[in-house]
Amino acid sequence: MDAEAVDFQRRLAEVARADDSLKQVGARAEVAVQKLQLARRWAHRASTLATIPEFADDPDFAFASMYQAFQDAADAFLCAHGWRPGGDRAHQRTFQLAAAGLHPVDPETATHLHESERTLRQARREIAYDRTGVVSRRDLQDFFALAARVLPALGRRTCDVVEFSPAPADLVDWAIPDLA
Amino acid sequence: MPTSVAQALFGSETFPRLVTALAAEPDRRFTTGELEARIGASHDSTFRALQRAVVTGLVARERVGRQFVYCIDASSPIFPEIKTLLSKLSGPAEALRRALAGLGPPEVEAAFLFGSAARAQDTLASDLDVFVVGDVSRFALARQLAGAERELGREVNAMAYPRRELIDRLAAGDGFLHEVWGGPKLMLVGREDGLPAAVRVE
Repeated sequence: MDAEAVDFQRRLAEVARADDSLKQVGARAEVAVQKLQLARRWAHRASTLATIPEFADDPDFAFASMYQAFQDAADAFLCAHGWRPGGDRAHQRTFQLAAAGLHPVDPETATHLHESERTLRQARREIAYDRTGVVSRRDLQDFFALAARVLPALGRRTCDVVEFSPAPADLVDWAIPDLA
Repeated sequence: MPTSVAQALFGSETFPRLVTALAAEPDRRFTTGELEARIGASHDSTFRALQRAVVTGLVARERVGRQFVYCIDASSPIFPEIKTLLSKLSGPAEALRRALAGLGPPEVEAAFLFGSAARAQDTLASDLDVFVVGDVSRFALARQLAGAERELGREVNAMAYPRRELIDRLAAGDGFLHEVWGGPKLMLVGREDGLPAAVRVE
């Protein structure tokens, strides 16, 4: 692991000493790559749903699928460092910690993730528990633009940290469509 | 029983809203009608609040032609303390208006607070629910409102839908939208009579 990954791993261990909802992951490289492949599959599903006419009037479906891709990719990134959040507020902590860990190597993308994570979680919570018709096409368009930036960055960094080299092409190029 | 901290302190919701609106534009003089529209209160309620505000010395009244105009009197010895207090109690609407001022049509055609803040049943810990009619995403709105959120120390949940989409959803009987449309609104941008009508098409 490079110096940034070692430092982030140390910071996660410090967080875990004060918060027992952060759990250590055993086979970190295998779990991280599996999670990343899962994220890639969710991103592909979301992209398909967003671009086929049958689902044009239901942007919530594509949004929820892309949210799952974010969750799995952030989870993969943390697993690559040997840790993953559990318990209450696991999604919030996963996104916030992933943004913190990404910051030293890609500050701009990390800031985008940090600034958007609450909006993402709010919309996903409404979609899952409250109502239909939560997001607009414009919301979906901006979410996909964010995904096209954040997911490949998390994918590349996860592969680097677990020294999965050369990284498979589909974990570097996520082929997320521009909905604009 | 008072339904909010502001009402408990000032005896009405209108008085703090009125002083907050006047204090937000200290160089401007308002007619009663302009203030009614700005704070979303009835003529009688606005008139009573204005009379009380003039008695306290916080608001100055001046006759222009056949009508009175009103402005904040920043030289009042209690003005700085009242302004600080109001920014905590009645500040959300003004802070959100300022934050949204950077976005005009087509991004923001109209905007309002709904939920507990619009019902004046919110506490200082309540989230603020903002609804925008316009062509803007909730991500862009969150960025636009981030400063107001920090200033107020309260979470802002903002959502936006284009006018055309709203008209279709209201006509289709969208339950959430009809609930929002049927409840109280505190307008931040535009006027309530400019919102799409809540007409169901059976």
